[in-house]
Amino acid sequence: MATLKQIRQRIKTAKNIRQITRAMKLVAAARLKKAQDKVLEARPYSDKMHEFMLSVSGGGELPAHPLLERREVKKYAVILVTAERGLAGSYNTNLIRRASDFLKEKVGEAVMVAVGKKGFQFFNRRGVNVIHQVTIPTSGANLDNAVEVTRVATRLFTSGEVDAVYLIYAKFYSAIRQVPQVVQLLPIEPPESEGSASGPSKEYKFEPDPTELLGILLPKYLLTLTHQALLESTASEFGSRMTAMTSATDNAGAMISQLTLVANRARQAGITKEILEVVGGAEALKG
Amino acid sequence: MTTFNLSVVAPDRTVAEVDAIGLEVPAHDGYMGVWSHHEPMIVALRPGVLAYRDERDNKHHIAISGGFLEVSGTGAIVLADDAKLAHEIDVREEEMALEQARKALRGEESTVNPEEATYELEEALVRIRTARTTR
Repeated sequence: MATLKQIRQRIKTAKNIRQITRAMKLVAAARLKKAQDKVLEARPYSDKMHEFMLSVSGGGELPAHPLLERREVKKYAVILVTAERGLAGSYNTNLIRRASDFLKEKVGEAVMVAVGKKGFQFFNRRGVNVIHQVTIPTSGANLDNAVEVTRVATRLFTSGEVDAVYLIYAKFYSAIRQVPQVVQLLPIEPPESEGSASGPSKEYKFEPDPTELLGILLPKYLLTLTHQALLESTASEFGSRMTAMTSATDNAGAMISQLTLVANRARQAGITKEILEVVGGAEALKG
Repeated sequence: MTTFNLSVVAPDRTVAEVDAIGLEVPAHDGYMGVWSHHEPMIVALRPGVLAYRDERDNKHHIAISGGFLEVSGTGAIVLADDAKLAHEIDVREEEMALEQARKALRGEESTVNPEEATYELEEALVRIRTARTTR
């Protein structure tokens, strides 16, 4: 049984930890808000880009282009988006597990591009060939990161070094729900037109002609996909961290009240013992 | 005059969302004008100055670094790789960027990556031009 002094020390420790986790929660909440706004601001562009792809492909077959070329997959690249830092609940763990599963079930040789330090640390130590690492700023991923990732992916694919590129990131649903996703980045899969709008609904004139237009459009479409994924990852990370820190703060609170109860009981026991001793002593003198 | 809905969006924000009378864009093979009821088309854009007239016939300029224009029955949408409104441009900063790009092209030491120098040069020139036309 711990002494009263030890228990009080533990209460103090728990209080200190609660302060820290509370501060981290507030920071994550503020950043999450910003990250969500960014996702929303980027949405008009990516929605429009999607529509463009639909209009240009117009239901028909796409003309040939290096970024569309389908090859037998002998070697592939995985771009894994994780956080730079831990203490984000199961965020990193979930992504790393998803990536491990993916590497296991996929046949062929794998190379990895790690966005964020956590994924790099895990896979580099386990003998996965990590050929490139991208660092995300503390405030979250930005357009420059997306440009860098896209450039690496494009180079790997067009040089024939790999035959497919996959992107693993956490899709953001809410602060408490983020789901790891695997998407095929390259070769580009033309977006499917949703049911009703089959074929070219509007008759467009293209300038330059569709083939050349596609050549300009595809790299930008790729960038948009990556950018969107990075923004979602950032939102997911802060959401996950906020949730983790909220429960850490709550747990610290519960621990403090539990310990306070034990401390009070110990104190009461001490007082009772002292009174008994005094009374016992007085009785003995009387006798 | 009849107006049409014009929106200019960059990857990270919506730059303009207005009712416009006329629009001028740096198309793939030269500047192109768009008025209300233009035929539907999709055009690739080069870096350049985009200009539009709002409903009160005031002219506005935006510097864009390439992108696409879609004209459809409902209006015109410009997807710009990067867009800056004329009043957002800091001429001094752009002149510095221009100088750095020139240095890189001459093969001297510079903050700009030589591979991107041509692009940076063009971008800075377009921005300076945009800022000057508005003044």
